[in-house]
Amino acid sequence: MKKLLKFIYKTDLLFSLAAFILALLISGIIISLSGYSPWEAYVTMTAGAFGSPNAVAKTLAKATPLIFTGLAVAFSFKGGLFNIGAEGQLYMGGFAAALVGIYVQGLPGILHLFLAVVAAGIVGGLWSTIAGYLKIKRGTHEVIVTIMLNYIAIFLTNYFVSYPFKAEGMIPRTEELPASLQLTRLLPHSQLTTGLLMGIAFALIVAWFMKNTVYGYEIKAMGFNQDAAEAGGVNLKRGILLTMFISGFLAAMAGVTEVLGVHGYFIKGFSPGYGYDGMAVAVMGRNNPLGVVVSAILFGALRSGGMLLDRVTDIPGDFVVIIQALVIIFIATPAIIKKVMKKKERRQGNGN
Amino acid sequence: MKKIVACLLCLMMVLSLTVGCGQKAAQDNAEDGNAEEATAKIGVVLGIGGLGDKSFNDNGYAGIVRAKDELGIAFDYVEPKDLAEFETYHREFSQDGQYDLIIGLGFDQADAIKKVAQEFPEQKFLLIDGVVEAPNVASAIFKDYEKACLIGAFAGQVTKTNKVGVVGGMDIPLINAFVAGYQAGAKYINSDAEVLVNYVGAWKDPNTAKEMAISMYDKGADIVLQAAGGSGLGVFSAAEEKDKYAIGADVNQNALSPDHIVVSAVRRLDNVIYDQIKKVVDGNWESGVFNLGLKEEAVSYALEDSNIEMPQEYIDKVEELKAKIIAGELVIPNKIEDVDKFLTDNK
Amino acid sequence: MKVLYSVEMKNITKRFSDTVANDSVNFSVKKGEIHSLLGENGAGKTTLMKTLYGMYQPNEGEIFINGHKEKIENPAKAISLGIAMVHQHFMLVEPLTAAENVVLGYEPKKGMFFNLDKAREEVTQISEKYGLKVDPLEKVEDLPVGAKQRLEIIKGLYRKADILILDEPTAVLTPLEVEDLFKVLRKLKEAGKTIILITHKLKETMEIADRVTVLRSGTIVYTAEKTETSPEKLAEMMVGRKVSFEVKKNPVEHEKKTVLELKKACYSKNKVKILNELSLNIKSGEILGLAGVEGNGQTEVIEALTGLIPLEKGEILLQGERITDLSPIKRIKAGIGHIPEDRNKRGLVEDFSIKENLILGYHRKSDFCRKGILKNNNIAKFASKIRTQFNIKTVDVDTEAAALSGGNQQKIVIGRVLSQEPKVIIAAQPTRGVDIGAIEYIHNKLMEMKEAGKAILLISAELDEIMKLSDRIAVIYEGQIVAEDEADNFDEYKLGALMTGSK
Ligand SMILES: Nc1ncnc2c1ncn2[C@@H]1O[C@H](COP(=O)(O)OP(=O)(O)OP(=O)(O)O)[C@@H](O)[C@H]1O
Ligand SMILES: [Mg+2]
Repeated sequence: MKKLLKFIYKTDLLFSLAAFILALLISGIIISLSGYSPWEAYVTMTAGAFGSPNAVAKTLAKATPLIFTGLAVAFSFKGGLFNIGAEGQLYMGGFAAALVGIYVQGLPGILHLFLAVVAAGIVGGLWSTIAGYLKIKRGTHEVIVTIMLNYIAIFLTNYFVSYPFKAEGMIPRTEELPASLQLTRLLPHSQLTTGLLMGIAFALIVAWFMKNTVYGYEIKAMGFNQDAAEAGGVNLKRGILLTMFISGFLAAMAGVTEVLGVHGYFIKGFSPGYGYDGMAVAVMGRNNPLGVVVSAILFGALRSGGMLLDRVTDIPGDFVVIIQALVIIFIATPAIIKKVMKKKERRQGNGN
Repeated sequence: MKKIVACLLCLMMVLSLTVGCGQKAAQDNAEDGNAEEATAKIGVVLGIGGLGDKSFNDNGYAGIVRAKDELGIAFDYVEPKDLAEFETYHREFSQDGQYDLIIGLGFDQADAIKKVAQEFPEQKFLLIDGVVEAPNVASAIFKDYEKACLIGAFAGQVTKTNKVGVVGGMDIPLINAFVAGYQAGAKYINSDAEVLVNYVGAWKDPNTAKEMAISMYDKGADIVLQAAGGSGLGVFSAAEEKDKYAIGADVNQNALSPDHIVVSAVRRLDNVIYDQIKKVVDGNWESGVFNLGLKEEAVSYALEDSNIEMPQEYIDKVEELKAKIIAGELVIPNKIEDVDKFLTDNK
Repeated sequence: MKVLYSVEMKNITKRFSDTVANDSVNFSVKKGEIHSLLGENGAGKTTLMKTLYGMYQPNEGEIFINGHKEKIENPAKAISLGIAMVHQHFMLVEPLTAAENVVLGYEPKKGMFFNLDKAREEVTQISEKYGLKVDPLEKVEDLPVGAKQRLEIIKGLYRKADILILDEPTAVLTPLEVEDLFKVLRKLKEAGKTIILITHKLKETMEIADRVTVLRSGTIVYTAEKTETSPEKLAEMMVGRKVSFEVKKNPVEHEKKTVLELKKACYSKNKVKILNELSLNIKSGEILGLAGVEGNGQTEVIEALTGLIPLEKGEILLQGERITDLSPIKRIKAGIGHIPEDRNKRGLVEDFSIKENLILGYHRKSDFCRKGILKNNNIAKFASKIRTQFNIKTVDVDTEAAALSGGNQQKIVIGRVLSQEPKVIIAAQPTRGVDIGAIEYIHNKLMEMKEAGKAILLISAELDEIMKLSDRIAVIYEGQIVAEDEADNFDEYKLGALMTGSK
């Protein structure tokens, strides 16, 4: 118990929670200023997010891709990099998974699934590594490159799925994947699949990786203080590439669980911005893998709550976006200030 | 620390105020909902683009509102932002179990409805503008090429340069049927007419549509039809900029730019949806595929609200054509490759 | 006659979660005196002063300013009471000019607008009055360290401070700048200001202070008039035992062999030549002192040897083998130990725990990792060992390095390198900000290493340190070695002249 408290304290999770609640309060005010009832909004949202087994399943289903994109962003943060490209990476990854699923044949189910997952990860990872490569070769900032890569990835997969790989029919999507490849649904009629378990497993793996491997150690050193890491023999170039690759790999898993789990095929525009939400999730989870899982579930709840809001009330579900934005502002602003101050101190020489 | 406490207190006060209002609002709402004994409850999954597109979604919505006013139904609707959300919403409505009919607007909901309809065989669905063959789904499709043919006949007569254009939303069979009808009509009436065709590739990108229309006007076209949903608004601003003519589609768009839009091809989604809801209320709803055209008044054209006077002789010619189509004398092609054959057959 | 006290801190106790940084401290400063606050690293000096300045709230105790009991909730309150503090890491806004920084938060206004002329005028006035030379229109980021410090003092004076706290102001200054600073302090004293000065250098205390207080492990162990004490006494009070200032320079008997060699190294930055065909020979069993005014290429020598910057021309040989193109990690592995000159930049990852910091650079060694998996148990054991060995004051080795006092942070850096049996040690400013007990320890350690046959390059801004430890001294000036000889053939004056380029 004490250990848990210490963990919460150490990772500033309380701070995140406070920011979340504050964001809810202020959104409440905004909702009421817009002429709606915040009471009705929150009651409906809570019902939509946790009101029934179906609602909980929906929340967790929405949380699943966010766990991955949250992990991806958090991982890049750890290495001192800012991967804004999770959106593009998940499309690339999802598409790779779909292609392997449809066109590789004759493999036993498990192996086939494994291959699809790994292929997706590698494609997503390499896609993100492009930004790392340009950073070390040309010094271009990864934020800019990953954003641009997002557009390329989205339009490229749009094209692929609208023309060469399009299934029969009116919709830009691929063929249905073989049933053996589709993730099992944890609740019938829901979109909640074993992808959730995969997400939790990946969070544990990332946590373990960071704590127990040399690579995790080097990435963290690089993220906290590049100069010291360099002097300590960390190969920064390799570190940057590795960080971007793993980050992209994780983001690609969000594509995998959507394509193999929720939809059963690659469909154009399947991500309503999971990659971008990953940033908010990472920030709220304090870049801590388990924190990411918790905050992904909270954001999933916002989304599923927002959907019910849309459906049964006049209140636009878009208020959810305001809540998310406020959460980011409340959490990120102090964190950024803290970070800038720290950097400044460092530059100005020895503390004593 | 004190400051924080003070701030929180303030917040609490403001909040308690708003919550106070909130409860009242909730009650209001409950009273609203006292039309509890609605004759039927309808769930609506609008197409991407949502309300305010002055087109597809707005037109469909009008039918639902009419049903509410005249038949006393209640309804909830959602506005998905992406293809991938359709399934989720249909699933939600179905899981809820209290909707007598779930309406999906747009062919792109076909997959979602097919999948969900299978899982919830008791739930009734209506798909507008697409086909799902299932025992619990009614599919309404439109003979758009019929109205497109009439529009084409207008364009073929109005043009002075003998060049007319069409900006399509996407290069897909549905839009191509429209284009085919348009070509057939224009060339049927005016054998010198040339038809320029281009596709935006998106339903909500007026800028690209505008660029395309401008380039058509630059190439000599003097009247351009938009067949691109929300993107189509770009065609109208191009017409205003170049001071040329344009043609609206889906609903009567003439009022959007009354000095430039001469006519609009209209679908009467409202009629179709209203009819279907009525069947649900009356208890004689059936599943199946319904192919609706001029004859069923599911498609038409509209001249009202335009400031440009359409010469009566043009209208007469179009009406003549319409009569032939309804009578079955002319069979309008719905594939671009069949247009030539149609023209040679009907010289 | 009753003595007037500017500051009286009574029974101050300050605890951080597990540490008691100040334990019932009674500290008082007379009006108009320069009071030197001494103590080992982690003794609680900074904490005590931050408490006085309102940055920390004491758990117990009371503070009297000019005889009135005050509750100092925050620095703003402290400022209003006439207290100013110059932190070692400056609190300046880099992109603003000097004048803007000074008036920040207390801006002179003309109507609604910022009155820049007035600001500049006032800054110039203060700076002339006390000899604090700063160009008011220069951007702070362009100012050298010494000027930044003067600016911090001006800032305090602008806010009408009567009590000035200076936390280790001399650690970052060159000897010349220290002299200038002391001139300023004397003027301030003449003007009736009260000054509290934290330093680790007893020489400075003896030079400028009127009274001295020594803190040890959070309690006051000694207070005296300067005239009634001696450096030896002070050192003993700080450390709790007798400290010897002399290091025995035992010449090493066995043959000295060149271990690390820098040959005709060239390096330029922004087209300016920083290293100009510079050559150095570092031999086993010998300490080579590299003397020079900061900014003459020392940093680049260090970074070239450790592989952090590439040479344009020239070679680096380790025991005769060319290592010019080896990566930093390979050089570390080959036996080049590095004590970086700026521990907060290159030396430490502040957000890492002590444990993690202690293996940085050696984390791929088989002791600490196997097939990419860290041996966390071994690392913890190792860390505890080094912690005891090097007397790092901390609750446990899982504490973040950032929470340590400056001197204890330095011990991490030193302990890390010395414990790994390197062949060559490049020790840059190894005792910066370290208390005398630790200085003694580090000096002895370096001597021990030398006697064990290691080759050592010592870079230091302290001439004393160079003279005391080196067997040979090389003087660097504008990227070249302008003199190199046995240490006995130099004295302070000769070195000073060489370092500044006059022959
Ligand atoms: N913010 C903090 N959180 C936890 N512990 C702290 C904090 N600041 C200081 N300490 C601890 O309090 C003790 C006193 O630290 P302080 O910085 O006052 O020492 P100091 O006398 O200034 O040392 P130095 O000469 O090395 O600067 C140390 O053990 C330090 O680790
Ligand atoms: Mg200190």
